[in-house]
Amino acid sequence: MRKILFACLIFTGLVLFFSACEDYNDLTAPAPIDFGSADFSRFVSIGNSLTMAEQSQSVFESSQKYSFGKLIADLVSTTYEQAIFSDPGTGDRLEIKSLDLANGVVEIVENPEQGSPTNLNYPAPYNNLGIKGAFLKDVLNARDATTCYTNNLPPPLNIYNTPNPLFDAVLRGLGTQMELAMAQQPTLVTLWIGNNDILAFATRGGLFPITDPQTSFAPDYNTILNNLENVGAQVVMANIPDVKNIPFFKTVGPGIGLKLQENQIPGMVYQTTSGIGQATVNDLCSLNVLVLLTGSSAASLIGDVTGAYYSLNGIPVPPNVNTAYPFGLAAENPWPNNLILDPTEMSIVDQIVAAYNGIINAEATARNFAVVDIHELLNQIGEPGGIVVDGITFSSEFILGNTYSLDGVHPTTQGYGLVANAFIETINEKYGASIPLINVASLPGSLILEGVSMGKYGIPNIPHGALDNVIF
Amino acid sequence: MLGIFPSILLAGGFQLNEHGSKPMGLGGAFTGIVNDASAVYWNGAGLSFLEGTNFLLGTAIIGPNTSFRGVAPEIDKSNMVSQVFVPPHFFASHKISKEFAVGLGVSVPFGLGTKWETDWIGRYLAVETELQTFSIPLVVSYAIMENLSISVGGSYSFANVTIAQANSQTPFVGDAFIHLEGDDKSAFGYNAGIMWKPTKETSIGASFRSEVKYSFEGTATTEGAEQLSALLPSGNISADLSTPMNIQVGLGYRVIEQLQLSADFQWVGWSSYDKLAVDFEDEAYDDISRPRDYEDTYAIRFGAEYFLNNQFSFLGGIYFDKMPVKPEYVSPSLPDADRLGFSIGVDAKIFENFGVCGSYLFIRSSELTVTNSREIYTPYEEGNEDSAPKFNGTYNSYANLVSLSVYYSFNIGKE
Repeated sequence: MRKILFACLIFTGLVLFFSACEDYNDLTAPAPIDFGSADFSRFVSIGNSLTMAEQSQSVFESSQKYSFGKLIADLVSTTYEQAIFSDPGTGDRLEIKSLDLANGVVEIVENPEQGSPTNLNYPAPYNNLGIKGAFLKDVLNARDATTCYTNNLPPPLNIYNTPNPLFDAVLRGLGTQMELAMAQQPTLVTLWIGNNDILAFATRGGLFPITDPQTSFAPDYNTILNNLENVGAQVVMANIPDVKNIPFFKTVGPGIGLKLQENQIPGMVYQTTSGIGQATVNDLCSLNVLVLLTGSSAASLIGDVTGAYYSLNGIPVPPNVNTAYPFGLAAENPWPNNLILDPTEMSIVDQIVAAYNGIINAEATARNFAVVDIHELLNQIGEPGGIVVDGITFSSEFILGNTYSLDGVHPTTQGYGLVANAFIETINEKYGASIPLINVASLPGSLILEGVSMGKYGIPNIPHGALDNVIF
Repeated sequence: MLGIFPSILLAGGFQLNEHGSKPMGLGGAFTGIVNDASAVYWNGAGLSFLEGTNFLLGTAIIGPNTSFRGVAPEIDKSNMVSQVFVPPHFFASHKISKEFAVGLGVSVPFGLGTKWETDWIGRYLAVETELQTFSIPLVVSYAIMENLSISVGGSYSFANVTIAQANSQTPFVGDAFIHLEGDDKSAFGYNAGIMWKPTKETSIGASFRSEVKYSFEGTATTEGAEQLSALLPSGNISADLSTPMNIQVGLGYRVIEQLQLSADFQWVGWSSYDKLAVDFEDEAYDDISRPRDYEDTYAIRFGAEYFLNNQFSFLGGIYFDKMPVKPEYVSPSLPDADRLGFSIGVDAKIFENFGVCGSYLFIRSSELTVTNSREIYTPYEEGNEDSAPKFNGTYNSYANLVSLSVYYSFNIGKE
């Protein structure tokens, strides 16, 4: 019996001994990141909704935690506080209600819920000073919701009809974006601003004032950079993209073109600021005119002779319009001016964007600051077939292109990853750093599924008015 | 856009060699000894050397552990969820005449499973993978001479398999979760063995166990966003899978009265497994076909049994098991690696015809750092495989196994 006990004891001992063998060699941790001469110790971003990480018409936490600034800050392990809004965010978030890709039908709805700010009491200015709806002059002038540029335009140009509350949420009465950036004695600043100064014109079909490049844009940009230079910050600027590469302008027109072709109609007729314009099927499909995403629901009414576009949307019939004529096909009942960017307007946009980018480049060269060529990045993505990064194809196709969220303007989370990588590449080059790029495929998908009817012809069905407030 | 990228189903690590506590205690060096009823599995020719009627019933308790650190260059550690597997074994043998003996058994020749957290970094490669095979071998042994016997046998097997993994819904928010489940209620194999005892001290044995082809039939179900339901694979599936043939040659040598040494060489024909393929009945979904390119492999086993007296003996064993898969195909569904096993055990013949055997086996895998993985762990589109991020990192695995068998014999000494 003693022998049995003895044997059991040895057995138990050995079991315990081997069980404890959970060893392995130490692995070498990745080498610390070489920042070169870049100094991220006080990292600040100035910008608009693109800096704030707006997606699908709303600013919400599950997108904000992947803002391009936050992605960079996490990579380099530096503090980066943001004005966070819990999901579904600042309101009117676009979500997919149903999707039938086999037939190309998608239905998009607006989420009526709003989130709330989660860190309004953060005791210092936010590192991310991006504010949805900020124009260039707002960086210097806007102190709150009532003093922002758009609130002081005459109706209907005061975009929010009410003061833009996001200025209050981000600035919190502490000063302007400029002042709050300076107050942080920033070591490195990202500056991506000026998009709205031209895109507000483009996204409203040319019915919005443009910030004049020479008399307004150049001096304001110069002032901002002077201030940042004075505090010794390294500044990384991003330039302004070409609107023709954004699904907001590329999706509906070709769809209408296909629809007209199928019905053997040679083209459509639209209102311009100065008169009546005509677009052939080829113009629509080749993007010689740009029908806006805001016109997606009106697209299904082309040819209508009941005045449905006006009656359904509660819009008074303009005096020169006779709704007994087919909608969008007759000079008496043309496609509305605010839903299309005609060739004249397109060339204005091109000239202004080129002028802004010229100013940005000249300022950068003069001060030895870096410029992130977002314009070129979005051009590449806008090419047929797009670009492939980390196994994912990024194109400017609406919804399935992986790059743009449901508002057709703002990037997806993975799209923001591409933006962050563009910043990192520029920083690496400018400051001799070797910060690794973000694996964009590891960032989550972000098109919210709830509840677009991508109608036949690939035209999404977005409720009228849903995108009226679209702005960067 | 959406696809399932499932991974490996089985491997060297899914072959179980724990059929009986005594063989396990001897590190699996048993083919040349086979002196209990587990000969039905190990080498049927050994049955001719067992007198009377013998029963052996037992189970192994297997607790595998694996960690993955990565994805390189990161070294963040993910641990596999702890699971315990209990593959049973039962063997019976009966000596009919001086020449003939028969044997019957139930065991789990291939099995095991892996489970990872549903939110872990490799979730698009593997979350839960489980395979169970049950085999019922029937063996007839014939003694050509007093010291030489041969055996042939057949086996009836059935199996079930479960594969679950997350699937990215990119560009849409969230993950879908795919669950594949299938079974095969009848598969057949055969086996053969030879046993020769040239001297009183020496025994030599060899055995062959055939490949078994399973045709799994089952269903795929996917939990995901309702809006994407048309894109998510579901419905009936079928998959073919072969478990490999085994050839095992063993030697037993009684060094002194109290000490028996044994050695085995085991060859496993894993090259039969070149790809994992799952076919969807519904043509809307792309069939899955993933190269695996397994290679034939081997294990070398050594065992020792020390007889303390007529009642007690102590067992010890050690073995090396070579991984059948190239590192670039290693997947977290089966984190394979070269393995070393160390075993100990006690055999206690409590009564003349009844005994208990217990053994413990510790398996340690060599640390495997994969630098050229072909496993893509993020969503990707067909054609973009080259630029997609690969699952490089470091695997560490070990397992604790305990086995307990009881055996009962009667008609002992009748002859």
